[in-house]
Amino acid sequence: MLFNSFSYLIFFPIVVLMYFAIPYKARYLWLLAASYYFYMAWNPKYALLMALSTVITYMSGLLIGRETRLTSTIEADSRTYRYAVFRKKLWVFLSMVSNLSILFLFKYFDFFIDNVNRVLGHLGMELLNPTFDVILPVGISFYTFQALSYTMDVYRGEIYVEKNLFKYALFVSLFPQLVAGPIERSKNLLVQINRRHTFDYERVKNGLLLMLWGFFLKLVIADRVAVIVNTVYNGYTNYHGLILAVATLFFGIQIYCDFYAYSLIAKGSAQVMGFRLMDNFKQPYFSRSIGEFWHRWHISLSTWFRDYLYIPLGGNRKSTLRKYINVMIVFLVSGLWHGANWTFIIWGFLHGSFQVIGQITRPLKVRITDLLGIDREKTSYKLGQMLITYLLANFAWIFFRAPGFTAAKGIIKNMFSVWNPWVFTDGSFYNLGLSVGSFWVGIISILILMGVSVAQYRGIRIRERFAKQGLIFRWTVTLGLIFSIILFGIYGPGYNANEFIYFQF
Amino acid sequence: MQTIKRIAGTIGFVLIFLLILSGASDLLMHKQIEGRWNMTAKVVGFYNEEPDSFDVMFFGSSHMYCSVDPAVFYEETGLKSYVFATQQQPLWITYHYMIEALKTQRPELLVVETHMAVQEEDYMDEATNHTAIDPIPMSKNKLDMIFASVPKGERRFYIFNIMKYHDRWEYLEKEDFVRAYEKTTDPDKGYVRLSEVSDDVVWEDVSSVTESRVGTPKNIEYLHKIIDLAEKENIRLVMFKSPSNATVEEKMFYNGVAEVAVQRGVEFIDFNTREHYEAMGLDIKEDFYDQRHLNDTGMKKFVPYFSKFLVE
Repeated sequence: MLFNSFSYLIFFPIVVLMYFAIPYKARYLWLLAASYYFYMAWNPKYALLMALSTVITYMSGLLIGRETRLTSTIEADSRTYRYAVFRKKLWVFLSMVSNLSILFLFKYFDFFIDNVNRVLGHLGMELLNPTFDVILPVGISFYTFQALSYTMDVYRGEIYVEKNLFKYALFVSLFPQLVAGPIERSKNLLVQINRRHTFDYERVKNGLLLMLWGFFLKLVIADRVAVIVNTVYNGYTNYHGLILAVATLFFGIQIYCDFYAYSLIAKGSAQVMGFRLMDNFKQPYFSRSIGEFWHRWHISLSTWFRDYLYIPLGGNRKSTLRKYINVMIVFLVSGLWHGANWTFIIWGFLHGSFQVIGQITRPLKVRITDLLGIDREKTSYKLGQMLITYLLANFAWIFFRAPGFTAAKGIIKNMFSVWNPWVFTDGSFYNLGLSVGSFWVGIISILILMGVSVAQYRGIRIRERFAKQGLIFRWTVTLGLIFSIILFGIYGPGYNANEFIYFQF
Repeated sequence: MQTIKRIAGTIGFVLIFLLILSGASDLLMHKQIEGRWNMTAKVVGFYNEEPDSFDVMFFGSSHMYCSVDPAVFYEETGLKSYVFATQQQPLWITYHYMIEALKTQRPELLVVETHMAVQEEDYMDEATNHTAIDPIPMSKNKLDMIFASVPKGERRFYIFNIMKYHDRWEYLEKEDFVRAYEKTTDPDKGYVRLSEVSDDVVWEDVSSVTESRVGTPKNIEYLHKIIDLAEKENIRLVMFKSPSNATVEEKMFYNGVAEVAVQRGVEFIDFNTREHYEAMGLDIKEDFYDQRHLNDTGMKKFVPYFSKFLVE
């Protein structure tokens, strides 16, 4: 079930109340059952797939652990030792291959066949026509990566081997972070499953506030600007110049608010029950370079790629050229992780290239700024960097959002075909699916988010400060937030006065 | 001590939340309070009537609310009445409207217009449902009404109708804030006065149609529930079909209702026969607002005639 569904509004309180009502020893089983129920609300069959990934990585943990114990008791040079190390690597390999194969089959198979057929078509050969008609299982990319990190962490000796299958299964499936992250590491989450979480009033309240802010970002901002983005992107041939540019910026806001909101609701839900999930976003649009952007955007994924792909590839420990190649590999794979389409690969390519080009041209940039006497510590310079990074990230979003490569090309072409600043004054934005009032609710909400983000960027801990305020202030703000969501959120069947007009009856 | 403070705080917060939620729901709800089809005012107005003040209660759909003016009915019979009906109201909502009415009224006679037995869908459209359900105050009966009327997955939009109307904030008018209808009664006691005359009404003689069509299981179930309710409350029930220039097919459905009535020993009169039209002196060129609904001249011919059946 989705966080922003009525079902979750019922599901979550029941799960939490039961969680605190039952004995400690049974709590993980209750959460496991709740998590599977949560997942099965989409498609019960796919729970089997998640269970399969769980069992494979669980077994890999046990097997790797056995070899580790063995190697610690025997001489490092012996043949038995070498065999044990080999078997240990084999288990990691098998766990990775089987998990990634499932992922491939369900997420990339059609894309793969499509591309093979494209090549075969060019060669004039007969096309493949296999039938494997599946819907992408929700969250498969997230839980597969999370489960794989466990195999590798056990291999690296960074986490103990979990013997209890159900506790391990809960680590893979814990519902707040199951379908869209944060992609947690066993080092953080698995260890928390063994801890006793008591009902802590302040913590629960804090978690609920976090969820509330998440719901605001999702329902009031993301889903609202999505209306404009969908109108413009789905009919991009009809739009030109600044309309397309602004719609692209709106998409940047949409995807940020959507994803950030999901992470916040996940973190808040987990916090209510006593789990601490990692921060997945840290004001990414205030980054001064694309490299920094990836330290602030979807952090759980970028650190995953850093630890399990970039560093094993050699990271920046080898030659500079090798480092650039590694960056490109990571971002191409990251692109593919986001979706089985060339547009995502191009998006990843752009992000990789921005970084590589940035690093190559850094000495030149330093020389030019020195030559011109520009102070790189000046606020204006930093703001300039932020602006450029923001525009680059948003340019790349075009490929992320466009339905296909041809569309992306068309959008870029149309965007630069005219200079039409009058769209800001002639009411053009009111014809993109939002009423005037609704449009301005969106703009004001985005400004509020910006204000909050600036405060957070400057290190102000908003919730801590908020907690210190008087009751009337806190209640007013909280109720204001709740009713902003109720009134201004995009949800429900929608109201249209015309449906109530009767003549006959 | 701190625990008590926290519990009290939480309860206080929730209460304030519910208070604002209820206010906001009333404010945002779509209201039909102007013109002839002011159904919100008519339904809410019923709750402002003196308890136990009506001798007769009329229920049904539009066929009901344009067929009987309680003022004319009073002139004819000296009995006080209210028309508790809404547009296209299906029988299952009518049943729950009867329960609702009996909470405050103790009439001697319940009258149900049964046109909606022709309804072949088990669920009506959103507008019909909201029109009937929204003005009813929350109670177990309202919840039952919602469960009977709305398919699974949509019921929450009726239980918390702010989920339906929340984006109406942009269209709020003075009347949404003032809500005078909440404190007043409907001068027409639920009657909808249609004065226009339609000139293209078609009439076919269905008097001789004896074949009957059984309504949907849901309609039949609720006809029985309506009869059960009257029996349980020990109040006389009369079911009828107003003059509406019935087609052959409709007439067959009405015959189906008649069969249930006979089976249960309840009075049922279908006024769509030549005999009744002639006895009332109904003229299709003068007495109808449209093909199906009586206008006020038609009503004035119908009520005296109908009254005789009711008081005899």
